[in-house]
Amino acid sequence: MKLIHSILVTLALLLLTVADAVSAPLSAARQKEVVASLSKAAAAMSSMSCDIVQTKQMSLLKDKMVSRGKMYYKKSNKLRWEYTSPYTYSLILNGTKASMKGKNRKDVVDVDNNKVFKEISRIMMSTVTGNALTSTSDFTSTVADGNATWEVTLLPKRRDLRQMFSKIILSFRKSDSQVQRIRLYEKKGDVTTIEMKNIVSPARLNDSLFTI
Amino acid sequence: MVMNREDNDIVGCMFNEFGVSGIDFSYNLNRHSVKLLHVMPFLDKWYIRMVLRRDLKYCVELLTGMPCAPGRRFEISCDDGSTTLSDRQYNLTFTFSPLEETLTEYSDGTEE
Repeated sequence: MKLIHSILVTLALLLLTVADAVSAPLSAARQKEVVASLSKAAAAMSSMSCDIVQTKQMSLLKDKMVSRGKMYYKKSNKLRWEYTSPYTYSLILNGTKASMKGKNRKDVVDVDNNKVFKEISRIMMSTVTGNALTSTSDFTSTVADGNATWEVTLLPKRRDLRQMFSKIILSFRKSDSQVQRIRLYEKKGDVTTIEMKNIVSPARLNDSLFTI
Repeated sequence: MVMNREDNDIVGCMFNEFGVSGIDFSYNLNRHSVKLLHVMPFLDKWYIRMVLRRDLKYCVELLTGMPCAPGRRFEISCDDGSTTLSDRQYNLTFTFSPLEETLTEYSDGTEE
């Protein structure tokens, strides 16, 4: 009995230590400093390319779906997001135009004339680059220390976003303030994690990547 | 769309390329009917749910090889591995193509 008790106490202490190491909350002043520094780095980013690994954890099916692809960004309004496995699909945002190309179909949308798409493209750009931290009309943000990363939790303010997402967590590398992971928590329990790997920034990108 | 058999139900999730969920449903194999478990907000209207329940029933039956009798308002076609169900009454088309299953080893050591 004594042995079991000491094992339980040791386990509890270990768990507390691990919990602390995973993400420690920061003071309000320190959070403000970190957000300002991350926002400055995001605003200064001129271009980026990376590999993406997207994992969707489905609560209903207790299953996960892994997709892979690449992402390219060029300041200030060019984004190419493409999947290569297990399906081919690309989304290109270039100024006021957006194109979505799948296996058998391509659609081009005028972002200015489509309110929903305008919002989607704005949020995608700001999340990927980290500019979402300054979108105070869209999100409230809190920052925690995740050892090698800053963990920024975005809580949606707007009703349409709140209906879909309970929170979004951006993980920024402390070494270069780059977003390395995005976690989208849906209200119904699904979690989509997008890992950004082999990040190159600035990246030499041909404008033809963003041709619509 | 991803579907799984669970006891007397076929449970399915439809989500877009970015992983954002659209529709979750279950098809009961005894009652041959669809129950919508989750619908994304802008589709969550009673008149849309009504159409989705009916159309998804035929989609599930078609894709799983069950007897399917959708009626004159629907058109079914199979082409190049894809299966299409068209709801002519509401001008909706559902096209399903199987995802490629390839075992690929990636440089980070993972396989899928």
